[in-house]
Amino acid sequence: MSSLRLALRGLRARAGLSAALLAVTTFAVGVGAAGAIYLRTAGESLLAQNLRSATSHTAGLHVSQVVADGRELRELTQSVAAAGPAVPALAAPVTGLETRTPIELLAEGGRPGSAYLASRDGICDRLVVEAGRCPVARPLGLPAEVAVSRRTADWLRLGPGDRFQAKGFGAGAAGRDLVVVAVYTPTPYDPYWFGAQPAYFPPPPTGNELPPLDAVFLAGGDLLPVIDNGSLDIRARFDHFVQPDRMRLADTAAVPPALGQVAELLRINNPNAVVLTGLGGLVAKAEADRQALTVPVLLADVQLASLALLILIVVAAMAAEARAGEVALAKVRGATTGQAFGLAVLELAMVAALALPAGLAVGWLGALLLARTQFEAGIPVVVTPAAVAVAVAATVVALAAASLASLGAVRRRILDQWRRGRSDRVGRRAVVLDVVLLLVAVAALANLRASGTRQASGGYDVLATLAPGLAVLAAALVVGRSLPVVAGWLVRLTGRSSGVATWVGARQVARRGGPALRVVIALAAAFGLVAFAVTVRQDMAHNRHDRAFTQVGAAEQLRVSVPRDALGPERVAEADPSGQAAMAVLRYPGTMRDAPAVRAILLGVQPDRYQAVGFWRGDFAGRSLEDTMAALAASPVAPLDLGRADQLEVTVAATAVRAEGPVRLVALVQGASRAVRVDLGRLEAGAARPLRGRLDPAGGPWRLQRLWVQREPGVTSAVGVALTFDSVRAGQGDAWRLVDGFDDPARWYSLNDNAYEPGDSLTATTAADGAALSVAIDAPSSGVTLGIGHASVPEALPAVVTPGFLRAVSAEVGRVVRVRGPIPGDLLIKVTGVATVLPGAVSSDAAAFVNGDWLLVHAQRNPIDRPQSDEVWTVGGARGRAVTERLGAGGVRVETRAAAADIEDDLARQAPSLALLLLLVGAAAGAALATGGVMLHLYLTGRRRAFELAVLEVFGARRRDLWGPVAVEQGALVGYGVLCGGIIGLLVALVALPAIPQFADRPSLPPPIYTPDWATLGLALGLAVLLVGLGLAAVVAALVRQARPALLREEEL
Amino acid sequence: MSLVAERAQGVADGRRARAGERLLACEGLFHLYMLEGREVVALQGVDFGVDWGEMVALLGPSGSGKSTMLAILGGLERPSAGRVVLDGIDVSRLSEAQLTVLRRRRLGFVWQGAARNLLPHASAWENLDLPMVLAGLPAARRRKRAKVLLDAVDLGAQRGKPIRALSGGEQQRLAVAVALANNPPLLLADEPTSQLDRANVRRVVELLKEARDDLGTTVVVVTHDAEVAAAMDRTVTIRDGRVSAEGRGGAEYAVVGPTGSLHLPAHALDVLPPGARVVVEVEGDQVVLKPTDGAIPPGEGGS
Repeated sequence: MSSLRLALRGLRARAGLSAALLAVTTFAVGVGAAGAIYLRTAGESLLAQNLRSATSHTAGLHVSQVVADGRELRELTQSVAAAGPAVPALAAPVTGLETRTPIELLAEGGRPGSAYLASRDGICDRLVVEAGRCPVARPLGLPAEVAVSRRTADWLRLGPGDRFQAKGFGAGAAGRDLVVVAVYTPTPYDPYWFGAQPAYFPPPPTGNELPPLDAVFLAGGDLLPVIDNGSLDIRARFDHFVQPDRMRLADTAAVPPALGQVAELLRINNPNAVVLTGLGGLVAKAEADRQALTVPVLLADVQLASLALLILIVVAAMAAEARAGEVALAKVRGATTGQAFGLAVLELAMVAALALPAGLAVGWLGALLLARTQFEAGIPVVVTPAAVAVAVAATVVALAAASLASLGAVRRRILDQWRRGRSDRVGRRAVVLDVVLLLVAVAALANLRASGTRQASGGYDVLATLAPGLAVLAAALVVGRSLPVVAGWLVRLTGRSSGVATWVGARQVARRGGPALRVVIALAAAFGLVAFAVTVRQDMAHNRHDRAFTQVGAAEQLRVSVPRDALGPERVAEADPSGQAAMAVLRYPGTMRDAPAVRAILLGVQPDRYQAVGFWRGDFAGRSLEDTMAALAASPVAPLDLGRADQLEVTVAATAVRAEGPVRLVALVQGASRAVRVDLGRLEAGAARPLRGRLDPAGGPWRLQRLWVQREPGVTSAVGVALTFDSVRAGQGDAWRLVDGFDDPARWYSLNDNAYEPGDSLTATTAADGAALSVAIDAPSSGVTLGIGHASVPEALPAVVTPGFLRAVSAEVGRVVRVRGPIPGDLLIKVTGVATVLPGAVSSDAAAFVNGDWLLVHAQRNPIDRPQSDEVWTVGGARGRAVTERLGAGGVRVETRAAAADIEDDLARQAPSLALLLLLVGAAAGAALATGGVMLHLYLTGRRRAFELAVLEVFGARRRDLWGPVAVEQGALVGYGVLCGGIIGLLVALVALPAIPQFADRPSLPPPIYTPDWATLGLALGLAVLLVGLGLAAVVAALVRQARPALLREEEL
Repeated sequence: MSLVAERAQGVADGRRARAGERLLACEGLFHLYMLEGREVVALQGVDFGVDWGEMVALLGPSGSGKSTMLAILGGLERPSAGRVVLDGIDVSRLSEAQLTVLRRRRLGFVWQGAARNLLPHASAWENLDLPMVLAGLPAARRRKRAKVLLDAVDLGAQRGKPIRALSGGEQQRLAVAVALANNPPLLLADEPTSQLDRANVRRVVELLKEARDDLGTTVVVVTHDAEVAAAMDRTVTIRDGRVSAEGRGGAEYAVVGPTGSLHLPAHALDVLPPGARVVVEVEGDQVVLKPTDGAIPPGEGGS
């Protein structure tokens, strides 16, 4: 009889235990393999994510050179073609030609301006043409077809078919006209432009400076001749886009040398060529991200492997006990302890041999499932040589652990085995070791908390991440050892119980020995890790959510292009009349006058909509969101309500009018959905007279916000005038009503913002009809805004600011701060509150929330200004999509969309989240295995006692008095393990979370909140108790179902 | 059918030639063990011997120390004091490794119940093969010997059957065969017939006798079964950890203990119940016990 056959027979005879052993060993091997596979896959995903999220010009390769002639262009093209294949992940280049600098544009009737002339491969597929068609190359004798932007067309006063010239653009010595065939809409967020956006689509001009205009696009064939005629410097550019799907981790090591090879080749052949790429940096970052992931994943793996080994030791010990009788028999027949051990190890080795491929498969499957939910789509999940090596090592370790667990039964004396008088009492040395281990783990945790949040800069805090898991395992050991003590308490508690089940069951628990303690330890460890992982993961999920929403500002942030005749909020109001789904936002970057080096961000939000749309958390400010927003909308002065007037009348007298041309009075009125400018007419010296303008009643109700003194076109001289404002009236048909009598100077302020000296003076005076407002203006020739504003739009905008904002200017609440930005002059803001975090503005330490509608009013410094709110925040989901559709129908085009959910997903792919996901999934699987193993153990131990219970039953004891104690005993053991484990895991998580930054994704804005998700925890624990309880009930039922005669068959084989 | 294979014949003859010589001797066996914190004296000075070829039954009430003694004889337990000498070898001084060899070559065991005798997931033939494999016998010899033994116990046709498929009697017969697989000089059996019906009891007893007759095996059996005891050459009664009586040829003899103590047989206890005071008188070569009325006469320690 061969040992192999005997071992096979033994495995088959103890099929249940063998299956449990195989399952646990497979789990141990699978955990090891999964970690390695997961790491590799995560690395690939991080690489792909980095490549996809980077801008096209960062991830790609840009080659450009100012070419003197066609030959040079050809040489450059050949060199680029030769160098390209060095990096297979780079696509064939998109070529383009452009002028080296903006070219002066000359159009009849238009204003002076300049812009780049550019051509690019495939431009007709990417240009968004509002009117006309994409330009095509034409013969040299004909004007070159071009596409211009709406802004350029307006500035140059061009329309489709109009001709203009670009200085230096010609064929040979003669100039060549350009003819507009298309008006396009700039798409600065399209990656197709490969970093040329700032040149092709510069920001709008401010003041009267000569602005750069949007690029003029033409066919490449029309720019080629310009290269040779030498009048314009033409730059050829070759933009290689990266193809993330064609780059794998294995390729990354070759990227830097390949890029160097490309640069070298071009340097040799084309020394004037410029080579730019950020691909090497991206690859290096991806590698750094992968390495950052390595340690936490490995540590999660170590903890899972420890759990697996713990469960394996429990199951192996059970299997060894089941085999112990045969071992004793073999020793009676003359087998040495070594031979008996060898036979046991042979069985275990057969299990291990099966577990190796099974574990690899399980590990691969687990990694695949995790990858599907967490990683970039299309990332391959492969079994790497490292995974195989780890699996083999895990198999060897598992075999060794199981063999050691079997040693006790093998070494037991024959008679001890038959008498079943083996000592179940735990050795004192084991208890001391467990307590020491727990004290070490607790000390490590205490040290973590005492030392505050650890900064893992440049390295990884192994202790910080390993301590919690070790604490759980150590605490589980002590929990198991404490069972007899707790059982003793239970015995005293049930001493007077009249219930047989509880009385007997408690005493059965009290006399439990080693195997029962192992059950409790296994359950406590497994469920402790689950509770720990669930708590930490839920906490991280909440904080990720908060972080993502804080970064975006709301569920969704849209960057939009608003039609020229709109400001933005009115379109949002049309798309979302309820105010519950969308909000217009104006982002205003600037610096502070008293701290010019500090960059600040002002976010103009809509206070009446923010509560429904924007993100807020109770700990951001010291007061509620409602109060915070109310402060932003607080105006001490009621608006000038014109109602649904069809006419606006301002009675004003002008004296000492000094200007080199006419000046007019223009009113800014805000309607229900838009702001309009009402030209009230010329200001002429003389007595007070009414100046009127028309309003559209349907656009009302209207509110008067500004009265500008506007120079007529062509007038740029200094302006001096003394105005006496007498009244404002609103007319509806033939009926007029007085709106304001200018009797309180405090309700008006000058719009010159101290831009010149002496400043405007506003004083109370008396006119024919009573009180009046006297305004004296003596402005120099410049783009200074002239006029007065009504204080219903405060001169100093109330603002909620960040602490960094206050620190920058050493200000406090109540102080007025000046901010300089795109709006000429200073924007005044008055600090009304402080918030630690302002959603949507986390990129700047100095940030402020202001009233967006009022900010837009201030942005309209003069009647020709067209500031626009180019951001819309929505609540996302179906309602957000509906708003987006309605915005589109209203002419608002969505350029980009940022969703908080996407950022949450990205954050979930950072190292700590990924490692914790692995820990959670592994711990859950471990808990399931531990439960299965424990149920098997309970069944086997229950069977051993079933005989004695059957005998008692024959003697007349009731079934419930016999099986009740069994149920109480088993339930107490299992419940003690599960509940203690859950509590341990939760406590360790609460202690560890605040101290370990690895459990909080960086950066940490807003500050993480460490609050257990009691609902999820309760659900998880309840589910665990339910499943374990069901398993227990199944075990007891299976034991009870055995027929009485069967139970009385003693020593049945 | 004979248990003897060719090679075993010479061995058997050698054993039979040593009939009357002491094979197994126990001298002053004491054994104590702890049970839940209390000290239990299992054997209190047992002197006991078995000759080559003898069949001895150990009798006694439960808890008298019979099984403990059997375990000590088999090297499974070490005595607290005293010696066990097996064919000149002091078993009580052997190391575990030496005891393992001893069990392999010189001892056979038959226990009560199949779980302690047979591997449940092996067949009849495989169970028989195991001890011979451990002893290092070549395969051919193992096969031949196994066949002989299986045929001898009437299990030749069931050699490939799993143990669970055999009846209780068949399992116990197989257990006897397994115990004899390595042709040990001493066979120890603890209640080998306790779970069998009469027919199987007789068959097992027959097998034990065949082992003695054919192989020269010395047999020591612990039993409560009177029929089994009657089939043995000699009976030894253990009571309260001491040899209290011996029986041979239907006659029972009380054994005087090392301290002079004597266990009266059951029929004598009717006359002299436990606690009765007797006057011991020596009359020639006889010792006479005369019961008193229970009172102690003055001058002899009474007051």
